[in-house]
Amino acid sequence: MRGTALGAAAGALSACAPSAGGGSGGTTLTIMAPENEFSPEFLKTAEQELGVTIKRVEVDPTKLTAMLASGTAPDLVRGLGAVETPYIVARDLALPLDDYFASSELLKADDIDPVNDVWRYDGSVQGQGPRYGMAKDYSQDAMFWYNTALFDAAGVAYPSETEPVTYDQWLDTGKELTQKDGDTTSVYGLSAGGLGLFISLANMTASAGGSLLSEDLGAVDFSSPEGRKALQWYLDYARAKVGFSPVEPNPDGWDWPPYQTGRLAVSWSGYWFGGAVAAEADLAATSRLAPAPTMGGERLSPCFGATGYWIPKASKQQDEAWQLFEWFMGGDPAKERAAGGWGLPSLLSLRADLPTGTPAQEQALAAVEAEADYFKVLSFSPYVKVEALDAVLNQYLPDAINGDATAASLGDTLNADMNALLDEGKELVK
Amino acid sequence: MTAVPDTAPPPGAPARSRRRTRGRAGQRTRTFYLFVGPWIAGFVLLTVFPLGYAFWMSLTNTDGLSPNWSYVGLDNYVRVFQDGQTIASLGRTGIFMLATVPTGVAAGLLMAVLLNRDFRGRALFRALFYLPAVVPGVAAALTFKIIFDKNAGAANAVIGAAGGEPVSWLADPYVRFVLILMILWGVGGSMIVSLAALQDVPRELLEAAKVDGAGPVYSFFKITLPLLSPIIFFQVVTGVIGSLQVFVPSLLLAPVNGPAAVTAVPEGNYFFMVHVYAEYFAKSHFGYASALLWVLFLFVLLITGLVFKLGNRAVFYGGVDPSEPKEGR
Amino acid sequence: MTERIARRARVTALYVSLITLAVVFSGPLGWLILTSLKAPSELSVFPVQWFPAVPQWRNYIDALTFIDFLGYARNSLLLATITSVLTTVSSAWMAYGFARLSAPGKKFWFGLLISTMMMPGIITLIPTYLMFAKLGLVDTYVPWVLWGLSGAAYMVFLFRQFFSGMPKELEEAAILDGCGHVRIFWRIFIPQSWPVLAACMVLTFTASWGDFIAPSLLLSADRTTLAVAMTAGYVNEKGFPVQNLLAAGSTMFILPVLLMFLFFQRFFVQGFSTSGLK
Repeated sequence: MRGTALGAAAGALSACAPSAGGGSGGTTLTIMAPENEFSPEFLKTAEQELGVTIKRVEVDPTKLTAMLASGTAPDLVRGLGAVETPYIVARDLALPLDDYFASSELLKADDIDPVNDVWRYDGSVQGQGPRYGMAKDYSQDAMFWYNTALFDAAGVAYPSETEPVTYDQWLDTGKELTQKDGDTTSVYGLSAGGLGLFISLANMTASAGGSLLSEDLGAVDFSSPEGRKALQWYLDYARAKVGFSPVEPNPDGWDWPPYQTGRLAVSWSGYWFGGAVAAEADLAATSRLAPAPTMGGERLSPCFGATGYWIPKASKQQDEAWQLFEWFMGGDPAKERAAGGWGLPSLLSLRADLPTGTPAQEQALAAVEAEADYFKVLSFSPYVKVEALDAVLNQYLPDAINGDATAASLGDTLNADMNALLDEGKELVK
Repeated sequence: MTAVPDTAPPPGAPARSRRRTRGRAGQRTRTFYLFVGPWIAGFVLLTVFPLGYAFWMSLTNTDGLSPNWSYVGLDNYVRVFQDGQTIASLGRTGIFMLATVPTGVAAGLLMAVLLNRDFRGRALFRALFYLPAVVPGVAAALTFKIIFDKNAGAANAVIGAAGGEPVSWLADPYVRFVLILMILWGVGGSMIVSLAALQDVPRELLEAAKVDGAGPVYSFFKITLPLLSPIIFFQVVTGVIGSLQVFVPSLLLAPVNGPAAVTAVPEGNYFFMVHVYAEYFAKSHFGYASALLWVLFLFVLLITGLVFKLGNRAVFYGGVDPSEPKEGR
Repeated sequence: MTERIARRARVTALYVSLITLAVVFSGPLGWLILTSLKAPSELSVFPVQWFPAVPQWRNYIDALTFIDFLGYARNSLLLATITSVLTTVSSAWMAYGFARLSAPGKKFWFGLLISTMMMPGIITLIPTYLMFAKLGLVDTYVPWVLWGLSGAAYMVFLFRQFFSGMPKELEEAAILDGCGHVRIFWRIFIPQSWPVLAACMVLTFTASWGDFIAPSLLLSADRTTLAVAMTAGYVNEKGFPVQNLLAAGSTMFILPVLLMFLFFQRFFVQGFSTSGLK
């Protein structure tokens, strides 16, 4: 047994010797992407289509740092445009793609959905300047899904499908929908903040008419009236225990499993949630998508992620990387993604490919068509990663929720810690 | 004791050792390095560079990506002592160590003793107790999270059926107990080491004791346990070192999936290494995280040194005491 | 008569404690298997649903095809075999030096060996990658061979503890016969050490089989291991875990280690101990 195992090992080792370039002298592209977006079968199609060899590595920030440091940068990297674009541009990591876009047949300027502006940054404002990447698909994440069956069971009126509710009305609805038996919750009325605490609070503050980040993106301010309002709402929400929060953890880590089993009435999720809903006939019949709530300011419906891809400046095969990018974003794969219903296509022309087979799909599509006008880029800071700010929130929120902290006192603590982080970041990219 | 005769050099020793240049001491030294050399080579080639790099990082403010990093001297080390989370998380880690190491070693030993007897179904039981140590961390954590969910979990269903109130297991302050249970569930590795050690207890010693009228409990404490003490010592040392570095289970039990889990670890499971990882991954403080690591290293070194000091008195080496080379033999 | 009753009572007590322990230990394992047989809609139901209405054996087929399960399993098997065989042999070799030989500097090297266990790997990930990238060894299995050849501190320490416990008469007689230490190691210590060799094989194989930090850092997707692929692969279109497939995959993930364990556990048998040589 040992002989064969070691023999096999020796064979594999020689087979694994580093080989420069691809099999037949062609180009080898290295992409950092998850398997659910670049499956082995899909990679084969891509290789045939583009005449290159593609090697996939798992998405891993540590590995990306190591690859960039060692001069073996990947050629295409997955990222969350909404919160990562300023960070990678300020560090001079991403290749500006404007020249490529200008000459592209597949990705035409007037066909590109405005959401892709989150992938633009001119050094001071996100949403302007060169394009550094593009969303593979997206959702307006401040919208919410609800299950009418649970509204009926609790005798609560449905939210409007066209007019936004206020956050206060929304929380009241959540309270009415929550079903408790002693300390056990059989139905949660409303789940908020599951896609990220900081981005959720930033969205609420903006919806109240303010901004959590200063204009130069170098400081946070939770002590503005709007910031406090947002923070107070979240404290009220978490204290009411109508949904998941740091003190009411969701063992599944996302809203779908409880929603699927009728234990969650309202999920703060965008269009993509419909991809899961469509697979369950019962839920597809009773689920609706509603506009983003408002907090007193102008109506607003941003995108929290805009997950997509960018090309590192250090890529040694930028042209080939662009070809893959272009085909992935504007070719057949984009069409297939649109038909899957797990997100809105980032090209306007592909909206026609979205699924409309069920009433829920048709309703969701109508809702997003009406919502598109209210899209706005929420600028994120180039000085920190959003995870750093989420870590600060998670550090202080449990005690604040369980204790009697006010939005004012909590806000001061958050300001101090977050601004210290931002100041350090400024040192590094000045 | 282990005198090496001049006349017979080890046949496998390098050829130059046959020249008998430096006599017995030189030859002993060469033989020692023949055995230990591969490890030293591996250490120099594979470990020195990464460790040196980590030390260099600790003197900078780099985030790994920005070109404008600079040297900050010992600032990062000073900061360790100004950081409120350092002492708090270190204390938590120490308590975790005290909670898991003695129970883990004792449980592993108990299971090994039970499973060292000859009876039907022994292999099955052995496998059953070892299997949890093989379950991938992600799946183990997912299973524990589902079992310990406050509302739909099996644990609270059992508690409820017994008339108890539901417990919010996955939030503070209870989540630390779920973590400890999950760690102890994987005690099979410790069982295997103890099981292997039990095979070295000479059977005739135990039989002689039995003839003299000693009961099984007496034999266990007077014969088996002293003979097992080197291995128990090993398990305590490695258990201490390992438990002070624990962080992946904390991440897996957090209510967020993926690497961002580190931003949402409940306070009770926020151990020192979780803090390091949060500084490193979420806040990109590569320099500060490296400094924290060297501080952790010194802390572990201190505790392990203490364990070695205590252990040297309690451990009985049947053959040679490896820690005290006899001089002048 | 009383002797027989006492004996029976002891055996009963043994079985009772074993079965109690087995129930406790197999609880989560059983839940994992039940999860692997459930339909998605049965997973987080309130109140808890213990058993699937209809066992979904399909989940196992899906788990095999959802990711290239067998391909990744082959990679894992190769890597775990390289690692466990090399690490076991090299660690025993080095431990003999630490346990039975003396030389100036021994205390220092042993201290250093123990110290290397105290340095958590995460901060050295990037420099480790840099080093192997410069050597052109990224995306090869060579790093595992090098790690295997230079032994694992944990296992060196384990073997050292075992070897120290062996009677000194063992090598004294051999040395009088003119045996050198290399031969003493191979001819006397190794044959005496089957239980610990088996333990080391089991532990290093398991550790390598389950490790996902080093493979995900150094290997690309088609050369990586099952542990990495399972963690990253059983996710839906949005990247969230698919619980029942993950559970089915995990159940199958355990099987090879179970077989290996059942093979090696036969060495945990009292009998061929040191007594014969005394």
